[in-house]
Parts: sequence; structure tokens; C-alpha cells
Amino acid sequence: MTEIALKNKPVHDENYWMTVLLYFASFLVGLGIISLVAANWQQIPYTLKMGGALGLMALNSLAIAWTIKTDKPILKQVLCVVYAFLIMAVLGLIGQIFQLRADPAKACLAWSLMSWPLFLIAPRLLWLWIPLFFFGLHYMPPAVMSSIRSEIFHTWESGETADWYLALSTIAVYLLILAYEFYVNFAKQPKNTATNPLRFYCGVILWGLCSRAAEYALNSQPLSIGCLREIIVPCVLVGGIVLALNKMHQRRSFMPLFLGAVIVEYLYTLTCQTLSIGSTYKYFFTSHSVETELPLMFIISISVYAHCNQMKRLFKLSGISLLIWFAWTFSDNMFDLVPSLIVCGFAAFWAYKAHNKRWFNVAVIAAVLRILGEYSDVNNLTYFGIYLICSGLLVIVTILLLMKYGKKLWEKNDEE
Amino acid sequence: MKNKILITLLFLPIIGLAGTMMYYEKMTHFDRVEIAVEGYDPKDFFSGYYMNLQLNWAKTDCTQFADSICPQDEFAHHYNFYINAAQSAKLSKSVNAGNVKLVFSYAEKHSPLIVDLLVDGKSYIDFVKEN
Repeated sequence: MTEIALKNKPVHDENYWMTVLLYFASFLVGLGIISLVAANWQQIPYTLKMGGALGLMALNSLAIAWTIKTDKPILKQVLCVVYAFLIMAVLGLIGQIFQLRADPAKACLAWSLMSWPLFLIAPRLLWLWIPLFFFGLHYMPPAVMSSIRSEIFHTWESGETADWYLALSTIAVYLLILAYEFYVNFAKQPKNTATNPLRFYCGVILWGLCSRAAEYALNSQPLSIGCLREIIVPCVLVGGIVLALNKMHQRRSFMPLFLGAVIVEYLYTLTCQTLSIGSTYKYFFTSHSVETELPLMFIISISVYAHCNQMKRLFKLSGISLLIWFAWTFSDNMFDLVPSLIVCGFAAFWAYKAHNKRWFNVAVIAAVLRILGEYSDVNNLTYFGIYLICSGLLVIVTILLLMKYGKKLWEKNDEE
Repeated sequence: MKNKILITLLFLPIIGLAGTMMYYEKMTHFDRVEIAVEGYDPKDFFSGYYMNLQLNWAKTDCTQFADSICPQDEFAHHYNFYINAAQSAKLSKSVNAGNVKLVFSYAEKHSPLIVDLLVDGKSYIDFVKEN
């Protein structure tokens, strides 16, 4: 246990939320890189594009190597997140240059395979896997929905022939998860000494992606070598990750959450089927599509589970996910810039006078983000990519300045 | 020693991606075949701008294949063709109205790879420049 404790020594100090924002900023930079790639600049020859992308990856690798040698965990984490995004961006670039068919499930799996070394290097996996978390939210529920609806429920309703290979493969994936859960629960291990439970949850999302891959493989190349490649490789990969992490860390079971999510998705699908009019579904929230509603339910189920189990960090994460969901789905500018800045300025002043360092930092960062938000334009991918990268870099610089000079400011405040 | 292994592992994705690129680069040198298409122009955040094109075998010249038989099973029903934002508006009109073909690099037992888009017999890049 001592060894485990040493391996998992906290990478955060008293500036915890600043560090979290630093990760968020690196997330913005990564998203900016993807947007720039998606903008598809045809003036640049593809050899230069690929050379540049790989060169950027090599530079990033060297920077991570430097952080490993000099023991800088926070910077290492930020660079690992950017590296994970770079891998995804280069995969997208290959797809764009060679005009490959868009298959997000295959891209996610390739990304999982290639970002495998980061599992061993990144101090914190949670932030590394946030992109996967969102991909999982986006693709797992529809995958579960389509497999259950089309192949089982829909078959009962319409009497059409089902693709039983797909249905059985999906069920097999869930049975494997169930078997693994039983193994963990009945093995002679203490259950409630979780150190990194989210690692397992990320594994579960990967399992969900497997079913998506299975759908592709079984629809396009029935019982061929493609099935083996698409199902067995990710299963072995994910199984390896889950088992290895479980060996390293005792963890809490996530089976109730997983089953809850599947049930919610199933009930939702059932409702959609019942309310269907012709080929059009009637949703609970008519302004959004099923792809945005299911993640909302999924996040809420995570939030409830985390609250019931007193998992504070997971609860906070689900809160952040909810905020992102709202930001994603509501495009209207809810607050004017000047009143927002006045509120931020007031909050910063109050926090300074009240000797509340955390709220002071939050107010400053909120002001920076609010100013940046004023200049976003998602309709032009090139502009949006540059905007995201600049925003991320500006936030990083602001945080580093706050970390460096904040101490002096607070010392002065204490003297007063 | 452990650090050296970790640093070495960091370069594996770069090698993997470079290998993938070389593989696809090699695949672009097979025989060229032209297949008629029809489609529309959606936009996806992670993919940028692309046209989702459906193959139209009825308008395709099958004599370019062995035994003059169109190998429909070897092709997907639809393909995405990535373009940039500036070109998308001009091309979408042409795709909906005109004579459009996808050029594939094709060999038996290999997935066909798109190498160009022809609009009225011209490469789409030239077509956009002229219009």
C-alpha cells in the first residue's frame, strides 16, 4: 500500500483549481489544433502538412521527455493532454488527405491504441481521458440504443429479421463487463478503498466503443477477419488496461451506474419508439436531438450516483460536464460583456478583502474567459482554431502569472 | 532505465502514424477508375467540410473494370470528400446539378481510395478556380 501511495502522490498543491484550469486551457489548445486541421488548408502541400504535424508531435514528445527528467508533473500532464489531441488531429489529417471514409468509432479505437503510452506517463489519467469521456458520451448511448432498438426491440415490434450477430456481440460485451464485476466483487479484495475509480469508468466507456466497432465490423464484413480485428483487438486492449489498473489500485464498483445508464437509455428508446410519428421521433426536449439528450441523461445519472456515494470529485466533474452541455447546446449569448466584467471585478475585490485566494483566482480567470468568449466564431474553422489556441495560451499565461505573482500579492494583503 | 523506456514509448505513436501515411500513400498508386456520384454538402465539426457522395452505378462506365463488370461489392454505398469552406458553396451547386465523378485508386482485394473529384471532366480544384 505504501508503494501505491507513493506512486499516487498528489500532483496538485495549494493551487488545485488553478491547475485544473491549466488543464482546461491545454484542452482548448488541443481543440484549436483539431479545428485548424478540420479547416482543410489546400494551399499547403500534404507532405508539408504531414511533416509539420509529425514534427509537432516529435517536439511535444521531446518536451514530455524533458518534464520526465526534470520532474515537472503539472507541465507533463498539460503536454500529455495536448499530445493526446495531436494524435487525434493527425488521424483526422490522414483521413482528410487520403479522403478516407469517416468512421469515428475506428478513429477512436486507433486513437486509444496510439495513446496507450500516455497511460504510463501522464500523472493524472482523468484529464487525459476527458476527450474520450465526451466521445464516449457521444457514441456509446446511440450505439447501445441502435443495437437494442434495431436488433431486439424493433424486431419484436415489426417482425423484421434481426441482425443477431450484432445483438449477440453487444450482449456479449455487456456480459463480459458483468463477469468482470462479479470477479472483482467476489475476489478477496477490500472494495471501498478506491483511489482512482474513474480509471475503470474510462475502461467501461472503451467497452462501449467496442460495441460501436462491432456494429461496423459486423455490418460491413460479416464473420470475416474484420470482425476479429474490430472486436478482439479493442477487447484485449481494454481488458488489459482494466486488469492492469485494477491490480495497481483498489477500486469501487461502477456496475450500478453502468446498468442504470443502460436502463435509462433503454427506457428513453422505448419512449421514442412509442411516441414515434411516421419516421420522425418526438423527443422530450423538442429543440435538441437524441445525441444531445442522451448525454444529458447520462451525466445526470453519473451526478446522482456520485452524490449518493459521496464521491465529491466525480460529482464536481459531472457538474462541469453539465455546464459544458449547456454551453454546447445553447448558442445565445446569455450575458453581456460589461456587466459580466463588473461582476467578476466585484467578486475579485471581495475575495481579496476576504482573504479568499481561491475565489479571487476564479474571478480573474472567469473575466479572462468571458472576454475571450466575446470573440468566438464557430462558423469559420480556421479563425475558430486560431482563436482557441490563442485563448488556451492566454489562459495558461494568466494562470502562470497568478501562480508566480499571486503569492506576493497575498503576502502584501496579509501584512495589511 | 524506466524513464528511457517511457521516453521511447512516446515516439511509438509517431512511428505508427508515419507508417499509416506511407501505407495510404502507396495505395494511391493503383489503377485509376472513375465512378459517377451524386450527393450533398453537410458540415461536421470534427471532419471539417465534406460532401457526402453516393455512388451512381447506373451512370458509371463499367468497361474500365475487368470483364466489363462493375465490382459494386468492393465499394461502399457512399463516400465523404473533404473540401475547404471556401470551395464548399461552389461545389455543392455543381454536385447537385452537374456531371460529377469520383476518381479512385483501385486494385482487387484492396479498399478503393479516393484520389480526385471530377466536375464536368475537370479536377474540382481547376473547376473552382475557373468558376
